[in-house]
Amino acid sequence: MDMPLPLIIAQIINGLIAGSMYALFASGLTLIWGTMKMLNFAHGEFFMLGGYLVYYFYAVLGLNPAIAALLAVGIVFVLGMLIERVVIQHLLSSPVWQLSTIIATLGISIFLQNVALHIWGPDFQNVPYFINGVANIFGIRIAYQRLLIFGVSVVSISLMWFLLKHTRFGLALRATSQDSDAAQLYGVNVLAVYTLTFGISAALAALAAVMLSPIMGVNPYMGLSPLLKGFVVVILGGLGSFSGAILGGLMLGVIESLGVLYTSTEWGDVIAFGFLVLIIWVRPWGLLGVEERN
Amino acid sequence: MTLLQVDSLSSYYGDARALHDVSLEIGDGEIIAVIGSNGAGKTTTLRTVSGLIKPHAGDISFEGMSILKMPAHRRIELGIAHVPEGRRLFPQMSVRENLLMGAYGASTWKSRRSLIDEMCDLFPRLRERIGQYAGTLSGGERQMLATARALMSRPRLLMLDEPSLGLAPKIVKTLFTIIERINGEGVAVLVVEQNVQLALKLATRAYLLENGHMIKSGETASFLQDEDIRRAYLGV
Repeated sequence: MDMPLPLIIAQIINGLIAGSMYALFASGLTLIWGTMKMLNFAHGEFFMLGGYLVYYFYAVLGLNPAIAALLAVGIVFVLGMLIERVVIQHLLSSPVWQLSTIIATLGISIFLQNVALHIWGPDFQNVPYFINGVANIFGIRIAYQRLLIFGVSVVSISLMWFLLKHTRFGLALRATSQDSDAAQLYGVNVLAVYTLTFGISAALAALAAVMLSPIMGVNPYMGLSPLLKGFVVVILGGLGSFSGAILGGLMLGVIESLGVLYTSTEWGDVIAFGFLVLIIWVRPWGLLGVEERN
Repeated sequence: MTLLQVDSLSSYYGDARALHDVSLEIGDGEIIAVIGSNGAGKTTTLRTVSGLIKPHAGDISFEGMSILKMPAHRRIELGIAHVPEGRRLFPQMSVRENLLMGAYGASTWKSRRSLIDEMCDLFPRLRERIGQYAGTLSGGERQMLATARALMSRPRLLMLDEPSLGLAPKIVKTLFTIIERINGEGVAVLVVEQNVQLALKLATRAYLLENGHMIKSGETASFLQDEDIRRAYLGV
């Protein structure tokens, strides 16, 4: 079937915008997998809390959206570090840490969902757009809010990339993820790296929710679907690969939105997940992951 | 003066005892070898000194101060640099970044650029490979990089675990010449080797570990004259 070209381009742009949010969310997941080799099932709830906090500071208290966003991301950053320090760190030295961290993060996830349910109730809450209006770019109409989403994710992903590649902390983080014993031998306080990484990861999830909440609203269970898609993106890009998560996120976004164009919304997921199965069939280690040889 | 003193160390791997009452010492600027067969406890001893393994009994002191309670990541700042078994480079980091990791400590980080230059003078091959991933290097280059990474921390004591393993004889010779030169500049060297001949030639004193027991120590000359050692480790 023939689709008009502007419509396809518009859908690709929409896909990139949605994909940039997947990328932001998934880069936090992959960062934790890469450094700590654990799966964080509470990542979706850091996302959810980011959404509720911006709802509270911006929609309820009426603070400036930029300040509300900073507060929301900052609070979730501190909370992430606290949870790592109090709950996760003790489990890492256990011989069954892989299982116990999964159970612990699942527990944290359920706990945080219920905290949100208790405070804000089960209904969707609306968050107004940070900026109103629609841009017209070569005949394609995009809401400013969506442009803002894209801009914020480009800036924050670039900052993350700089942090990882060009700072002393980034060097320590990458060294820890490749060989934590050797990193310790050369002076890296590995436990402190874990704590900070967990906080950064949580902050990235919160930032994604802050940007998306005006479009999708907030709800105690809003973290569930992104978590599943986040895992898809992380596996698609290659477990532990930061650039893989960015690429995987953008791809998933574009495939979904093109899929919707040709079929119905329900089929979008089928196409996206079918594509994932296809990729890990051909490249089990993901797009940018490293093939493990034994 | 005694730089490192290891006193009656005992440790376990699960239920199995890995070290029994192991003691050794190394003086400032000295070069010693710890020899013994596979599984004798040589690597365990080094990993305990650098803090990766907690001993069950005994003490370790550096310049007269006990470092037993000091976490592993702080021991490098005292001047203890450990080139672990298997080199343990960061495979997906460049040669340059691996070197930078050696200077990670606050006191060396400031002079990291001039230290990299120094290392490239000492190991010219590293300059040619500076932007390459460590995972793509040859065996010899990896050992050079691992040694250079340790030297980036300006150590007082350099501990090398099986530096000759898997290397061609010519490369081993180059490496050992460089180790001697480093030692000549005042860095104490503790080398663990399965290649006993090589180790005894390099060191002035040696220790023999067997099944976690330190069974002999002394001048290397006395090791070379010992009939049992000659038969068991030198094959003559």
